[in-house]
Amino acid sequence: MRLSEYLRSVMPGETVLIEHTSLSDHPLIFYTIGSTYGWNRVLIVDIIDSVIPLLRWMRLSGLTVPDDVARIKAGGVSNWGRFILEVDPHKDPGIFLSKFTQKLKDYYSKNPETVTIILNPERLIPIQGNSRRFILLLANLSSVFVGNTKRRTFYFVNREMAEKTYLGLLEEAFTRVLLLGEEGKVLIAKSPIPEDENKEIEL
Amino acid sequence: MNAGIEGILEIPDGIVLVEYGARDHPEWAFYEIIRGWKKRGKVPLIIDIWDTLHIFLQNLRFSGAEIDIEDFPVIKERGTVIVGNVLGRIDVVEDFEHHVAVYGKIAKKAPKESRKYTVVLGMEKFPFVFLDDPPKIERYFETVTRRYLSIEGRVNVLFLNRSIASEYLTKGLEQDSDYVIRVSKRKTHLIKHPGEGI
Repeated sequence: MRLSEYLRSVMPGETVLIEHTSLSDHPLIFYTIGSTYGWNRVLIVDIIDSVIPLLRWMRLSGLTVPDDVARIKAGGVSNWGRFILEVDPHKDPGIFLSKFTQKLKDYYSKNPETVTIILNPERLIPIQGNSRRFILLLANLSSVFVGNTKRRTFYFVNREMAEKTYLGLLEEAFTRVLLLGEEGKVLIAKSPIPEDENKEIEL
Repeated sequence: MNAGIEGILEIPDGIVLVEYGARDHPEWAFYEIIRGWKKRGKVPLIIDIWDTLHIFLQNLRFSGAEIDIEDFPVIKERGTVIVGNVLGRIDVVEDFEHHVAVYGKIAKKAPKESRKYTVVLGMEKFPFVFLDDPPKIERYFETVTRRYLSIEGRVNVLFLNRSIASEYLTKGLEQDSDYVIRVSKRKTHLIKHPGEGI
């Protein structure tokens, strides 16, 4: 199965976890999500400029991404994209997470066909001093949105850097898990469709 | 029906631990237990820790299965998504004595018949913040889970995500359970049972 074809089978309300590594071809998945659904429907939630290396990968590969894609920025210095909200991830998590959740809910009710791409939320954990309470709070926030049919959401998480229990909480909650190897293969590790599990997708 | 589940539906008494990995589908074991009990006229009390009930129902929904649990009594421990007939919520987790007192008060509101059948979802999320602290886990066992060991005539089914739980938590719960069911993807295997088996 081709990735773009697979993406079309993801239903509104689903959340997909993409577990990549530092050397994998996940920028190509990012690009395929945007071009399959249309960049005008995409909302990027960017933790500390994680989108920038992806955009550079596109540029060096001769691919283009429009520069007015909606973006929620949590930390970092880049001014790329169309800002929807900016939060400071160093602040008290109760404050920035509730601000962020409220904004997401508002955005989804105004834009009910949104495709959200969340880039490397695992980086927030060390920023918050590896707090166990924060890990649970952060993962639970993601679980609450599963089933909200105004959006489909794709999480990019570097599995080599992520805290193990955080990854476990996301895998349990989300409807699909894709594993990226360094040899360019994408394995379906969890799916609502039993026969899809352990199959590979072509990039 | 999966191996192990059918037998569990008939037991009048005992602690059942259902273990799964993060990429497995424990929601199907939950679905079969709930449906099986419903057919037998039993409406369990559900303890929903950190929105795990919502997670199970959503994962079932996208696989094309729905269960109506709107009338089921639910006790909510942390979390925000309201599913079922929520009798009350407990936000105090780390003060065990306080937690148990509040729990007891809320549980009294559940119909007597429902209290005989309890399903706990998200076992590992209760001790999540002190998973790496065996002295505290031991205190949690003593004050919370082992408090119910001598109660007879009730069935308690505990769902535990092994990818998240520490070895100490998993082994402690396994030791105190009469039945242990291991989930692998959508299949279940009974790996511990009393006497001649079920």
